[in-house]
Amino acid sequence: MTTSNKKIIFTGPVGAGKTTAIDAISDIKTIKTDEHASDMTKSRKPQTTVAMDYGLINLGDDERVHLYGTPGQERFDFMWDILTKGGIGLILLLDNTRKDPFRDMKFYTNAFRDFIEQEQMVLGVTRMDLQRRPGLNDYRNWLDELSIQAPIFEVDARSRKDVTALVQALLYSLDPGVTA
Amino acid sequence: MLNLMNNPLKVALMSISPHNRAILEFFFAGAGKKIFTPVEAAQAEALIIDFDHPGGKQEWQAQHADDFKPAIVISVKETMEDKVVWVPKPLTSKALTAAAQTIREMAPVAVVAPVSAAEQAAAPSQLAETQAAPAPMLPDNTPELRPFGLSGQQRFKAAPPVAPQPKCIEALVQASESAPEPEPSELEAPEQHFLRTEDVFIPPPLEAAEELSSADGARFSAAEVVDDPIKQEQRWDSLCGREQPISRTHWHESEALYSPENYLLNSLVDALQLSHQSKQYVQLEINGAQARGHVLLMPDVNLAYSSAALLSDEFAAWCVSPLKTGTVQLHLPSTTELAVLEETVRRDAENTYDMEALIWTTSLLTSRGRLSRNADLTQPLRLRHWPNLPRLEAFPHVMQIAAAWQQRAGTVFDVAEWFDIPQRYVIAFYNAAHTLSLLTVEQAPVSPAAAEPAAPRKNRGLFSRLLKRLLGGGAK
Repeated sequence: MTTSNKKIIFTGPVGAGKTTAIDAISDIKTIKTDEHASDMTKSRKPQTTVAMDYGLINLGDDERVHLYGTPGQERFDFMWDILTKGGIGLILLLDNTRKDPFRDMKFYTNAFRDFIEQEQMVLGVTRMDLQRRPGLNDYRNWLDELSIQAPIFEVDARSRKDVTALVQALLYSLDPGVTA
Repeated sequence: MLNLMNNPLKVALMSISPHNRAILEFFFAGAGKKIFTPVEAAQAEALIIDFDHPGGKQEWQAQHADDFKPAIVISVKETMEDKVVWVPKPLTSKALTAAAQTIREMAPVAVVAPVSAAEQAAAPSQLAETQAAPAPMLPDNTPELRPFGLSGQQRFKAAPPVAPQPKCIEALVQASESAPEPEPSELEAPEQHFLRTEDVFIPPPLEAAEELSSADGARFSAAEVVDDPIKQEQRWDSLCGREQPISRTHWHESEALYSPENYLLNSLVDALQLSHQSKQYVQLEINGAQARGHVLLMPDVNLAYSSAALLSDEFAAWCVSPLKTGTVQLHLPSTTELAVLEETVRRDAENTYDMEALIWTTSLLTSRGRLSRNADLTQPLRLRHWPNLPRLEAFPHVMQIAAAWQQRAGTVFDVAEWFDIPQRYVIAFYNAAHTLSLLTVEQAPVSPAAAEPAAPRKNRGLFSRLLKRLLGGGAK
């Protein structure tokens, strides 16, 4: 009997909530590779992911979905290509309190362009409770500018319900005929 | 005393923490609209800087301390610098108003250029442009994507940059504009004008904080609705109706049609359009024999306040009953009225909602699975953008409908048939997404094959098991 392994990739800038989101839906305690931030990151949080985060959803003895979180800093982008191998989709988390979320959107959608074209992406905007602007309509217009069609939701990365909604949207976008 | 009311202080927001930026934006768009006008740094008479924000003080010292522009510095600790007015945290409207006055007194009156009415009207948009280019929810600049409206009369298709307002609105706007401006002292309300962070973003998650009344008058929470299958079914019936499927060929003869012009929803859409065009808060006053209350639309923060809770029987009654002409009036609140409304919103924060959530629920409650008499169901449609589903009231198949409609153009009937979804849910989605301008008519010809059900894709079995696992809870 072979084991079926599929991946969902979580990406986005530092502090967007990737580790927290994986934690919200993982069956296992998320494996983190946090280190004390030594660069600009420390203005946003004291510790940051330097290799990857790893979580897991078990669907049975021989079937599991792996959840990978990429490190947020752009200098680790050499890892992203490796991480996406075998992935079924990308969840991009954007932090609404950052200086230029559109720049973040452009950067990450460009970095994962091939993967997005082959598979599917959904976007979650975090921290809208702390800052209302830009609004969701701004993000929708930015997606249009980038000629990308993808679900985009306001989410709280700590909420299992919200992260589940992102995964649901990802799966339905991959196959609208899927049934729960 | 210099009159700030006729000559708002032009200010530029520099390094400021997101919390305090949001508080200032809220104040500038509301009670402080006639006191401050946000502009770019080059046009500013004064700067506003948060010295507690990382890099704020350095930015001031490096770039602005020598350019002779005074600054309002917000910080916890007192700051004593030249050309600086310190405003302690937490911010209050009183302290901000006093700071503006002090800045004015620092500068020679002659150099202060009066702000034109046009500049004042544009102020919120200028502020918004410093962060992003906001798009209106309904009256955006893509007329070709809006070939039908709520009334089916192509209401937005040829909308000029500023559409003529309905007469009743126009009269109210004029009344508001012609009302004597309050003296600055009237605005300098004392400590109760505290602008706390929680006032800026206060919509609670619908499922956690809302309450609604059952038919027998007992109140129960939305969380209970989710947990109780019977209550959940009842709520879905309220949102999506129990109508029998409508015939694809004879839908216009169906009894399940309604005229949206007769309902609160129509006024709400008008108010939304007005608020986006004027970039001002708009209040809907409901003064019916049975229905009484008000809704305040706050476009700058994309929030709406309703005096009746969104999940209450009272709100449902506002939506379900046709309203007589004149029952609902739109109103642009004056500065003084805004200060009062601000206080109301703060006191009753639980009734503040994401604007999209308010319109979504209003549209569903109004239509209840029925179709607008003016709808054209022969045209294939496509979903331009997904609704913000985690923050909206859900009903069965809503994600599936969104995904299907974004990927393939089709009619209401097509979508229901592709995946064997009960038609009332597709109609409910159509009504709400249409009201939010998320649907567009497909311009490209739809091939006959596109009307066929989609073939299963790879990994369908895995996806189903993953969905069941996530939605069913499990070991987490």
